[in-house]
Amino acid sequence: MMLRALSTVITEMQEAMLPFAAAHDCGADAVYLHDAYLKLPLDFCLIFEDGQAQLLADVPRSLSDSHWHSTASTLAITLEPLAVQELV
Amino acid sequence: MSAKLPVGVQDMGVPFDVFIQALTLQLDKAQASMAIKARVGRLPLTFAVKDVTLDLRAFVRVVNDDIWVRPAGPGDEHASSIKLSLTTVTKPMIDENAVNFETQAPQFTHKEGLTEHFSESDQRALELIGVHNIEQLQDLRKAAGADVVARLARMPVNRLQQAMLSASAPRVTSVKHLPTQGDAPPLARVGLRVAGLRPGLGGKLPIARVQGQALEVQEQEDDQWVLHPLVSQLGQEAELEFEDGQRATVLLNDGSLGQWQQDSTPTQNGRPT
Repeated sequence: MMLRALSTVITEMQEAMLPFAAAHDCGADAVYLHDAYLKLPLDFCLIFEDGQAQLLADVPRSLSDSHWHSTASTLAITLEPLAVQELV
Repeated sequence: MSAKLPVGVQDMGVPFDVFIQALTLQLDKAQASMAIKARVGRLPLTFAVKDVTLDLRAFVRVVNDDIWVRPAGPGDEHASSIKLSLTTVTKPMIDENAVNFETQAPQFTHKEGLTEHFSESDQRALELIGVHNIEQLQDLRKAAGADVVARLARMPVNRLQQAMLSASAPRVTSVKHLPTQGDAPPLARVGLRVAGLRPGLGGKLPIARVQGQALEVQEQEDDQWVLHPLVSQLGQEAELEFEDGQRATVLLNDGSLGQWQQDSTPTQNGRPT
């Protein structure tokens, strides 16, 4: 399985949530998404690149891809709406 | 594991702190990338990572008192479970908890303080433990001890102490000629700084001599002492004696770095012993 940088995987998750951020920002809806909690099985590996360790990861494309893992690693991530000016 | 890894690394993994750095680097990259996209897209609001919990299946071993971690790969059984929880720091949190940083003398910043005495890899190792200049190194050494700093930075203690000894030597930060007054011989104003010693905290003034002739020493607010040698004494070697008995010599030239005297009394003050 081809693994990608963990940041790429997380960025994809964040981008999937952007429409909800836009809806939240409009304020038209009475109900909006407060936060999103995702818990995913991930394959991890480390490589050395640019003089440092890089963490690669990705979700298994299908269960059959990861049947050799007796217990897979998991990443739980909470995403919540945040004003852009509050980001560091 | 990736085919890019040498066999030894595939077997051993990486030190735990290196793994944590690799993880936080990826999270920072993701957050930065998302912030850039939101700013470019002029979005006032975005979905940011608030918390991350990682349950990593990995093999753990201890090598020379360091914990090494290797993520479990396909076919690996009986891996250990490492749980890590991370949270995001936002700008309001930083503003709330920020401390006022002391201004650094431009002549004694990271570039001139560490680069002259530590190799690039040693500087990087020190940066990873939060040390960016000699003052921070001195403070950490005083709080934790040189052996702890050396262990954290993964460098031999004697190399660390030798480099600190050189880096903490007195340094001439400025040389200015003063206007002459009447028939008095022309005087100069020489700024002197010693890493780890902070004038202005009530310490005794050092004694300075050039060829046995005492120089006037004043205390400055910007962490420096000021010597007033004759212009004709510039370029000569000044002998300095500090409150704790440590002695050093330094040439009265702009940017000159002095040397501690080997036979001076060991001290528990800011300098290495």
